[in-house]
Amino acid sequence: MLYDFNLLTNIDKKYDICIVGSGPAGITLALNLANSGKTVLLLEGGGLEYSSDSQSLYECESTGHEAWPKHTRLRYFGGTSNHWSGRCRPFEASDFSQRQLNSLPGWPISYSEIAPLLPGAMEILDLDVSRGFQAINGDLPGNHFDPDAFAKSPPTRFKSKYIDQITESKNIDCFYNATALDIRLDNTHQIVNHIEIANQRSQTISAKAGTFILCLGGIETPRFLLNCNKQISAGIGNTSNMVGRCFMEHLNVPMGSFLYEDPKEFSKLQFFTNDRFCESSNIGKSNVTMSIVNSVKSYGRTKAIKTFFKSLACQMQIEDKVQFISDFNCPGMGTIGTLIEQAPNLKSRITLSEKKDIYGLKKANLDWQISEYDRRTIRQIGLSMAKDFSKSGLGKIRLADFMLDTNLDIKYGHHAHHMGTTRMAEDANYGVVDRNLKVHDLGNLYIAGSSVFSTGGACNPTMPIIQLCLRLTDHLTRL
Amino acid sequence: MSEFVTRRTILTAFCLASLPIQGATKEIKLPNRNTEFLDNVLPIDNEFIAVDGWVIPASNLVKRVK
Repeated sequence: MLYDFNLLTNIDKKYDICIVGSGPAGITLALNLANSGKTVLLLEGGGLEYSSDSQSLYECESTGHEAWPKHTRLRYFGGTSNHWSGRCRPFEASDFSQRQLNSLPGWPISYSEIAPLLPGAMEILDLDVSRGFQAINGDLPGNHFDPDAFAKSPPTRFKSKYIDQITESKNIDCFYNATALDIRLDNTHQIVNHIEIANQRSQTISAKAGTFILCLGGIETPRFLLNCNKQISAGIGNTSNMVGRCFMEHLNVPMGSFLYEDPKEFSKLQFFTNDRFCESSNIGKSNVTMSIVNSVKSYGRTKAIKTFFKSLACQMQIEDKVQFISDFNCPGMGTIGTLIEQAPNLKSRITLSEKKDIYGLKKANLDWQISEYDRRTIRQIGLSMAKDFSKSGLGKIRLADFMLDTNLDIKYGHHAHHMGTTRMAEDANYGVVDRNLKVHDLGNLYIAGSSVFSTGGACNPTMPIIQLCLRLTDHLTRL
Repeated sequence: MSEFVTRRTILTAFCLASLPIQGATKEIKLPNRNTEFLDNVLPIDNEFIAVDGWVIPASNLVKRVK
């Protein structure tokens, strides 16, 4: 059933499972656990539709590189699936190889533990299992890149696809407008007793369950755990001071432009680093997408004025001279986009700001930092792509200044993939959750979502999130 | 000030308007073609160079110098 928590003042039942967050992870877990016979309490802080009041609770400070965390996430039923693009590419076996990055261990599980769950995840995301993942272009010479094989979800909007199933499920009680405020532990501090939740009228109650799962995403999950500091001052799950550390994004580096020998024949090209190249060069993975700009793009409130001036600059062929005011590309230009793996590093992290939200919870502060490993990855991928593209005879690439001059700062953007802040590690000194997604040192608190990623690879995170949720469902139903 | 007219918009308009003036007042230098070209060449490895950022086979440079 589905309830507006603003209209209720009590939840007197004790559930088998309490899930906090109704994004792709929360909804996948709720439906699958309910189907296996568990009673599920699903909590969503926002409403059924977008509202600026709810969204404003995602405001956070940024002291590192800007990642626009307020705008890239959505705080209402269905979560960020309400605006995701639908691109899917699964993790590969090499993502789970035992490698140390910035002195941090990789995944403690093997590829074979999530690979069998791929067809189930594809079905949830409305992908054709028999079609699989396909490339749209051929190979390049040079043995550095393969054609990128991927699939496009419609994209699946979890709210519209699954809200009826949740409403009709006898085993699920879903409360929206129910913001989680605190996790309360028993006297031993090893078991979660209940979670305190509040509605928009600030009425608070306790939600009781045998097992609790946080599915709040890569920023809110560590923020919530750090805010739960009434019984343990460092926050819950933070014995090793790892909660919030190792924030990773996928790096979107505007590495340059290209000329195609035969522009009339051009269609989008997408490549993916191959394992031999990454291993021999000791760098991360990457997608490289080459496309030709069709129109001048502008965003924001002043879109019309910006578009006018950018178009004027393109017509006058002076766009290079005015890039210091605003970065943009002119129609006909070949641009190169990337989705580059960021290695985990301890300095890139979520902490708590001194500012508080309307519920009295401290806001998150995001300090996004890349490491020397990432800089080497970016430059190595750019140079190799430029050389291989030239060898192919398809055209030539012009790399941006910062790709060739190591004294310059690399320009990079984000892909709205927030990962790693409650990472999975066998050893509690290097992570927050164990191989079963259970928070170290706590008997009944689990985390699902991209915050548990030990490394991020260069694939879009939604599909691996779903695979890990199916794996967690198996684990919890076997308990 | 209207929310649609930002400081950046005014700066953009000013810079665009001043470009012809900047161009007119620029000192005209006769190019020494080979020297300027070589200033922009960055060796990458035995096979490739970057000329003004364009990554091309080093053999292209040999052809040009000849």
